[in-house]
Amino acid sequence: MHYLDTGARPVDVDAITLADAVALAPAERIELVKMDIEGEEVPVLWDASPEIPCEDRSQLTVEFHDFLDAASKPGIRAVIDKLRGLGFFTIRFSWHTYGDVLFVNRRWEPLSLRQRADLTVVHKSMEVVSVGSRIESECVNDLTR
Amino acid sequence: MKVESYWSHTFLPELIRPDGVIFDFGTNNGGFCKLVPAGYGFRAGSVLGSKTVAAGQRVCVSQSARSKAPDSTPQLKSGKVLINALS
Repeated sequence: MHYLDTGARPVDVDAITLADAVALAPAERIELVKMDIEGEEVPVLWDASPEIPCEDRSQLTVEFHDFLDAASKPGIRAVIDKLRGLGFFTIRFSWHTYGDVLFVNRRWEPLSLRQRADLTVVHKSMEVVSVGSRIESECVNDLTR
Repeated sequence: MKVESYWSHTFLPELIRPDGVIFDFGTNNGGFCKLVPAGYGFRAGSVLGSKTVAAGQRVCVSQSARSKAPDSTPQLKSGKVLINALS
């Protein structure tokens, strides 16, 4: 069901911060954070940097929305630089925008030089375009069995 | 190294421990949070910023994060979406 579908109805939800949300799993190491919040990634990641310590995040996959607002690029670059400074290895899988950026925590996942080269050269240029449809179709099959 | 991508979100599944937790900020229709954990057995929590979108979510269970005492924090389960928040 999509929010535009008939039958959708308003509900009340609480507003919580990034730290509040992550605190829902207080004893867990967050292995992956996927973030797609329609342009608010920059202020959230910038403001929340103390809440994204190197200790307990492994990967962040972020869709920045500079493809909708080119003026946001300086802020995006600043956030990327900040996360690099916090110890994240950064891979931009998208070619012309920051629409698909992966941050890997070097403290938890010390990728070798070969692995980094493999990611940036082989996967970015050759393989990523094909795996999205595969994982989606496989998972849909699992869900519908 | 294995690389997976769901729409504009590329990640490295081999680096995620089997009991690892995924947080999905900006769930929209729940695709990432439903499909990726289901494919790998990961646990996922969903955070949605829009009340309007949340209204149409069948996969999300609206819960009050703040009303929960620390010892009753929702437990993340494989393939389940637990919260709508961050509006």
